[in-house]
Amino acid sequence: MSSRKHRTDENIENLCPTTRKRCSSRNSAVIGTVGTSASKTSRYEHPSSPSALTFEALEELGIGMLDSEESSSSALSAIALAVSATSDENSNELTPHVNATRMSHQQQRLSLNTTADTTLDSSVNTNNNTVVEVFSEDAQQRLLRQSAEKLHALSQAKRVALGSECSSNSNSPTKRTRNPLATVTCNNQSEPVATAFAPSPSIQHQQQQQPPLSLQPSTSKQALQRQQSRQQTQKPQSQPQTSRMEPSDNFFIYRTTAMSAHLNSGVNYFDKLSDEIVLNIFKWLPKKTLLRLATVCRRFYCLARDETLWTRMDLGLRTLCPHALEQVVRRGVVVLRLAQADIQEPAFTCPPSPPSFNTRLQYLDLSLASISLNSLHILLAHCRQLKKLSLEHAELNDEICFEIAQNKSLEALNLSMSTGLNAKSVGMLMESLTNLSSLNISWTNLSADAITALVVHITPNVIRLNVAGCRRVLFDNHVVILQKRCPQLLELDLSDCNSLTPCALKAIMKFKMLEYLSVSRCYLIPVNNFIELNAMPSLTYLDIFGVLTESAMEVLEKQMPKMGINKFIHSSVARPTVGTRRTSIWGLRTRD
Amino acid sequence: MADTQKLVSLRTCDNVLHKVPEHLTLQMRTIRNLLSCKIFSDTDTVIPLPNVSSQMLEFVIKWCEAIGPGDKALGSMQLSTLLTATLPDLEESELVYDLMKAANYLEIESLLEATTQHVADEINNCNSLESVCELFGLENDIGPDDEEGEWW
Repeated sequence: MSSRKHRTDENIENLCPTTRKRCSSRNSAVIGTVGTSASKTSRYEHPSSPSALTFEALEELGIGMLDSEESSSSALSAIALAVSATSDENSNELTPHVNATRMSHQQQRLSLNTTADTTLDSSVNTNNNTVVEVFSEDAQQRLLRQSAEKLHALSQAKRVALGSECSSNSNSPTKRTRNPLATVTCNNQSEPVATAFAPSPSIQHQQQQQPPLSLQPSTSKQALQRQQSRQQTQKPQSQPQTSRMEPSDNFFIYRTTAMSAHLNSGVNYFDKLSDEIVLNIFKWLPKKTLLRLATVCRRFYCLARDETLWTRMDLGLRTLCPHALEQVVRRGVVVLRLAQADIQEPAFTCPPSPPSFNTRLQYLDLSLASISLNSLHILLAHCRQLKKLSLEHAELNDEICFEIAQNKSLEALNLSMSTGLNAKSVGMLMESLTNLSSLNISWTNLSADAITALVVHITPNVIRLNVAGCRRVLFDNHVVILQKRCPQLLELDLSDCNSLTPCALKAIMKFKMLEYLSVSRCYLIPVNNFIELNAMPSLTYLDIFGVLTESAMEVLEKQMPKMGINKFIHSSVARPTVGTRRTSIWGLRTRD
Repeated sequence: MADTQKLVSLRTCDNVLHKVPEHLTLQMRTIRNLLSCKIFSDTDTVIPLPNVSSQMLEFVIKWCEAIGPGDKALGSMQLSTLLTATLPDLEESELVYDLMKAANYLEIESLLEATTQHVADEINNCNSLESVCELFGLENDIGPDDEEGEWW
């Protein structure tokens, strides 16, 4: 039941009310027959959940989605995270990274609890020292305590050294960095305005203080240069900073305890934190920052590569440097949006076969991406777990189709407007992809043979099919074969298949569950034949653009009062993004 | 057991005994799990918290009071404003880390989110990697061969 419901979520953008109601009226017999494909993951964010709309609202305001992730100010990331936090409640989606870190968390607690169980049972009345010992057996806790003690000692030393020179407040990193940051980040603002920020007590209200986005600090080279040039005009309290920024061989001189005592940052705070906690911190950071942080120290290098941080990526509209794509997929990305991306050559260093590693990609959107045949081949050769794939407007060849066909769990495939398909590759794809439920193969210049191969081999699990644009190659007998092959079709788009005649309609009438039909611009079908479609109880939407005059349309609407006529201009079959939505593909968030 | 005034005894690492109302401790998953084990007869048992100091526990209690009862999920902005509001002494960033560790140990999700976000904001505000290094006292121990360029 739930699988049906979520399948329909794909169409909700089309404002298809019946699909929403479908879940309540769906009978179990249908589901039984569509058995294997019902293993659909129920990990969809409801497209019209309030959180999604908030994202839309942000988009409208021009904030964030168009910009790179590096420019996501803390305000934006806070907003975005507020949204995604609530959307977690609304969506069925689990947030992988949060769960992952918590799992080890929980395991720790579990072990804690079991030891508590066994020992407290027996020693409930004994002194607490015993229990304390049990707890302290946990290695990490010991480590934490030790480091806590270390810190304590250090901070004591620091306090002694500082004396009454500066209040602890003014020496705190946040306060101290407030000043130099404020001057550097504000490209246009002058110093006096910037320093006004500094004394403000509410540090955490950065989003209110700093103007958003364009003035947000980025760790770009330009900013680096600006910082270096500013070193000459350092303020007195940041003098120690300056000396610390000298080349690394001098860096180590300042690692003595006495010297560290002068600086609040002498203590390595991150040493106190477990990897789990550091990952929790990193999960708030934009990806670009993560990449840069990897160059800070060895520990960060390992942590920044943790796969829980890289589950989703949105690289739409970006230009990827050579070898970048390989790095991206090696990070274990699961949901990847590369729509309209420009992927520079060479994208991979490894050959397509044998695949040296398997990507974890499951949802891949390459719509309108500019990628070479070779790179696409290598990419797909490493994908075996794809569930949804969009190659709209892509150049394909037989090898690429072969690799696509190896993804047995593929559920949605969008090949709209792609080139390079022939009868052989289409046949192979259809034979192989037995779990397919949505297929969009419109406007692909298929030959009649290819169409035959399509309808003969297509899996019965398909419930949404778009074969629009098969001019003069798709005939009535193809529809007959299709109907016999996929009797449970819900959505069928045959627009611009102008060789169809009323015989095709007869075959279409045999679809017992069809809800949406498009026969736009099929000029050979006289208008009055459409009225016969009233006899189909399940049909709710009919698109017949380009066939009727306005007056004829009115007549038809009167004759078919329950039918929604010409409601949907664009097909959404297997499409990752529908309408203005750009922050999710197939209902899945692309940004953490 | 249904007495809302029930106090849970917590002994922090500095051997100070704190009596905390039960409804506050229910926000801490660690303690919640322990309590649900039904090992405890009413108020005799003391739960040791070897990783939490008194100061941290006070902060934590203040936070739990601010969050309030019930399981309402707060957005991240609300969390960070709440952090500032309830714990203004967090200007000293050392405390944030200790608080983070306490929140991690006690499994108080809201506090953990708020504190990690605070630190992440600090990182975000850093202008360059050098400032990140110095802010957190990190040593750059990566050789040049490990450096990676940007991807886009």
